[in-house]
Parts: sequence; C-alpha cells; structure tokens
Amino acid sequence: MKRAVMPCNGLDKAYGVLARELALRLMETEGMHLICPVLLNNSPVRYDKDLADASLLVVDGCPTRCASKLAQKLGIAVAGKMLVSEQAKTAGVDVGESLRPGPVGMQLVDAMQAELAAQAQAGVDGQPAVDFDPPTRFLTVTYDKFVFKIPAEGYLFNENDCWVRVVGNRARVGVSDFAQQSMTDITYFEPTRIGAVVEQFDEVGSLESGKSMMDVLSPVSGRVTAVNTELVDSPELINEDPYGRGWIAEMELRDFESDKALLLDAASYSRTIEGKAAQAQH
Amino acid sequence: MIPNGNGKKTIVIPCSGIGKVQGLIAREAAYAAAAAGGGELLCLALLVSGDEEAVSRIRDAECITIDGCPKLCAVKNVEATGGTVAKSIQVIDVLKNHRGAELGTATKLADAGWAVAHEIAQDINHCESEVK
Amino acid sequence: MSSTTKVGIISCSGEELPEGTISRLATRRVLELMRPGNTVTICLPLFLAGNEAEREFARKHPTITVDGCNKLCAKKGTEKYSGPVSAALVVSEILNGKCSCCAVSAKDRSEDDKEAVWLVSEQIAKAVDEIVAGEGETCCSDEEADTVACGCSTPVPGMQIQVAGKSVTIPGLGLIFDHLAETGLAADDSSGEKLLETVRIYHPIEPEQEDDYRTALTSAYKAYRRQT
Repeated sequence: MKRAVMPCNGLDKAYGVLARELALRLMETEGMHLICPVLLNNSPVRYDKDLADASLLVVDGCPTRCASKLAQKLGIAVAGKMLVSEQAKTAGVDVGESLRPGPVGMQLVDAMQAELAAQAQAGVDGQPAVDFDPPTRFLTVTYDKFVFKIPAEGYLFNENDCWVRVVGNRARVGVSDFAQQSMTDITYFEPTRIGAVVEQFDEVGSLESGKSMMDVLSPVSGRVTAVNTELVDSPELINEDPYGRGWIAEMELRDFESDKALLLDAASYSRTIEGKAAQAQH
Repeated sequence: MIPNGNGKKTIVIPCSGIGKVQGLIAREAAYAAAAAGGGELLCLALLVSGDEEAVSRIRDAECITIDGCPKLCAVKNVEATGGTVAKSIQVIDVLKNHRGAELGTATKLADAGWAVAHEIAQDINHCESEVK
Repeated sequence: MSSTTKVGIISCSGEELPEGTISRLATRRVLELMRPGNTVTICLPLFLAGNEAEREFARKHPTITVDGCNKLCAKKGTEKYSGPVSAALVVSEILNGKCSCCAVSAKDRSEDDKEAVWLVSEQIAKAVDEIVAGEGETCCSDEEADTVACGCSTPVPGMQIQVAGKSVTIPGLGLIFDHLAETGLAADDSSGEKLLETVRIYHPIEPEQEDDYRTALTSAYKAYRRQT
C-alpha cells in the first residue's frame, strides 16, 4: 500500500522541528511520500495523486495539532497519528528549546520511527472494520430531565459504563450514553496502543472533560486492532454519538465466552444505571 | 459603542449556561472583553424573548457569541432572532489547550478557569482591533 | 413522608445586570445546598434554543422561574414553550433596592452580593417548599448527610445539636450562625424565633417539634458565639 507522511509546520517549537525530522526520515528510509501542509492547504489538488489510496501518517509536534486539523478540514482520511510532545513525555525525554535538532531530539526521532515499525510488523494497520452498524433501537432510562439511551440489542455492558459489540471474532468498544452525559463535554481522548494485548477490565483509552476523567475499561480481553483516531481531534463525537461514531477501540477477541459471564445485557444495564442516576450529581 | 472597520458596532453575547463551568467561563469572558472595550454586552434571554430594544441592537451589529458547550445556544438563538454572528467562540475548543486544568464550578471559577476566560477576552479584543 | 416531588428552577442568568448574576447564584445555592433532593435546574439558553429534554421536564413538573428584572425573560420563555409556571420570582423585587452595590462579575463580588444571594435563595427555597407541601409532602431531609456541597462545590460540614435528647445534624448550621451573627442577632434567649425561622428554610422542622428546636438552636447559637 502507498504510504504518505505529513508533518506539521511547527517552525517555532522544538517539537515541530522534530516532527519534520521524523517525516524526512520516513521519506528517506521508507519511501513515504512527503506532504507539505502549507502547499496542501493552498493547493490541495497538488497532492491528489500522492494521497489517492494512500495510508496517511500525520505527525504533529504539539497539542495544537495543526497537521491533524488540516487533514480533518480537507476531509483527508488519516491512518495513523504521531504527537511528538506526547512521545517525549512518555519517554521522559527533554528535547530542550533549540530549533536545531540535537542528539536528544534525534534519539526521540529514532524511537518514534521504531514504534511505527513495530506497529507495522504486528500486522495491524489500524484500519477499523466497517461492519459495525450503529444501533437503531434503544431502551431508555429517565431521571429528572435526563434520558439515557441503551441499545436494545447487540450490545453488552460492564459495570464501568463501557459497552462492547461483537461481530465474529472482532469487537468494538466504547462508553455508554450514561457515561458521556455524566462526564458532560469531553475535551480529551487518549487512545491505547494498536497491538496492545489487554485483559478484561484493562484500560483501552482515557477520557477527560471539564468535570471528570474516565478510564475506558475494556469489557473484553483481546488484542487492540484499531483505535478511533478521529476522537483525538474531535472527542465531542463521544458525546454526540457514543454508540456510533464515538467508538473507542476495536479488538480481536481472545476468550469472549468467559468474558460474557461478567457482562450485562441492555435490560440489566438499564437497572444498573437507574441506581447510578439517583446517586449521580448532574 | 465600539464601531468596527465597517461602521458596525460589536455586541458580545455569552450563553451563560447555568449547568456547567463552561457557561460561567463564557459569561466572565464576555464581562472581561466588554470591560476592555471589546464590545457591548447583550442578554441572550432578553434577545430571545423578543425585547424590541435588544432585537434592534443586533440588527446592525456584528455579534460575537461565546458558547460554553457544543449545543451552541448563543449562536442558534442569535441567528434565530435575525442577528449576524461574526465570530463564534466555543469554550470547549479553548479548553483543549488547557488539559488537566482545574476550572472551578458552575458558580465559582478557579485560577485556571479565570485564565481561560481572560484568554477568550483577549481573543475577542484582538479580533475587534483587527476589524477596526 | 419521603418526598418524590421534583421542582424545576429556571434562572434568567441575565448578563447585563447584577440581578441576573444573583438569580444564577441563588438558584445554584438552592439546587446544591438548600433543596438538593427536590430541585432540578433547567438551563434557560438551552431551553430557549429548543432542547426537548429541558422543555419536557418543565411541562411535566412544577417549575419556578427566577428573573433578574421585570423583563421576565425566564417566565415568558417557560410559558411560551412549556406552560404556566408554579411560581415566578423577580430578584429586583425581592431585594427591593438592596442590590445597588452588587456586581455582575464574580471578581468584583462583595458581602453585598453574598447577602443578596442568601435573601433570594431563601425565597426560592420557600417557593419550593410550598409546591412540595401542595403535593402533600415535605422536602427531602439531609439528616443522613454529614456534609452537603455549597454552590461552589466546597463541602459544607453539618453541625450536631441536641433536640429533645436526640442528636440531629443540620448541614451548614455553622454558616447560618455566622450569617445571623453578621446581621446582629443577639446571642440570648430572644434569638430563638429568628433562629427557628432561618434554620427551617434549610432543615425540615415539623410543627410539633418547634419548641424543642427553638430551645436547642438558642442554646447552640449561644455556645457557638462564645467560641467564635
């Protein structure tokens, strides 16, 4: 598959400089097509050929995420994302403030390239499956002025307000309507790593709102095959459509028959949130 | 009255949603912007209730709305009453640059909440000076 | 009898006058501190923008509007989209000129604002009580709660007093005592009636318990004033 990389244009921050360095490295050593964000913004047609049927990696330097926002604005599908500041934080690395890449910064570039390679070797390209149809029928629980929707069939829930929908040996997970209403407007989503192997109730992502934080605890065990990268720039999708576009991760199941024993169907989950709603402060 | 570059006055309209801290941030940002000369304030509820004076004020004005959440009550209500929204600010978008901040509550802002309110006010005043 | 009546409160939150700020703060105070089990706040901008959940609640439940001024935006909006209101309060009328020093912004808040919020919230709470009593109930008691949250979410500890030999916790009693001391209420036997009148706004007191509470509160207030 054709691959392309677009770094942000961060000229005034060390992270932006390293984003560019990583993109250059990937172009030189792995043959990725390099996309200039400024040219793309001014003349999108210039990159029609490079982006057609390509798997695009976006590399942002800082949480402003200019490159990701540009891709979203232009409606360009993004297969993967890398945020240099997050990578530095995770690695415990201080790249300094110099706008010339130094040894520490280049080591971080090495590490980021290695992580991308590891993801590719896992045989997972992070593409979500397309056969998880959104629910059409709901049960509702009403408390005061709040109405909480629960898909009537096809979804199972854990006590931590996370849902799972299973198709064959694959599953999609997310948080319930009750969870997103309790959090109010979600401002951050941090995905888990593609390829991660998780046990039931392990974390597969985290959410943050002005009111609270929430770890998304997987209702099932398995290997993460895709994460919803759209949520990184648009976490509000979880509020708008928690059972559809707000999905969190997809997984290859390991032992769903055992996991099922600890999950709740729609009716049971409805009863659970009736009790929770009475206690929650809205 | 603050006329901008095309002779129209600027009116700042926050949503003032009562349920979340973002509503209070929107409100305080509007106060700060107006105090620094960024525009006049207008009660959203007064506008929607059809108050003649409020409706006439927005008729020839450029409105800057500040919404606390993606429900966009200020934008919707201003447009529904015939106003022109020149700039729509969503507090949620600003909050994406303040991860982990303790903002406060629906009735009392913490330091970080005040910082966000002032950031929005500065954005409004900067926008206002650009169109002069 | 345990209360199940829920009363919706719609505040104008008008930005141009201090009364709008007072209406907002007083409404939150009632919701979070004074009548947490019986009230639900309805967001007026969301209500006016067409949110069906907010409008439906106001249709099905008794609703109080709290307007800052006599433009009555909250009352008019509620009547237009949901139906008649159960009570309509106007802050400027409640304060009757006492709000001249109040501020619109929280950064300029003073003791005048605090006083105004207390006065208005007491009136809102009374209106809630009247509605709930009309349903044959009394408002939910916070006897089991050691603390409740103030409007700013700061935990407000309860104070225990002895009423006819029984230990009773009244949330926020210390704050109530402080407030009454600031208004000049003397720490002697003459204060019983005022104490009873103020505390029953926050804590349900049955008619047959009034004498016992009056005695207990007077004693507690005297002791509190000696210590502070």
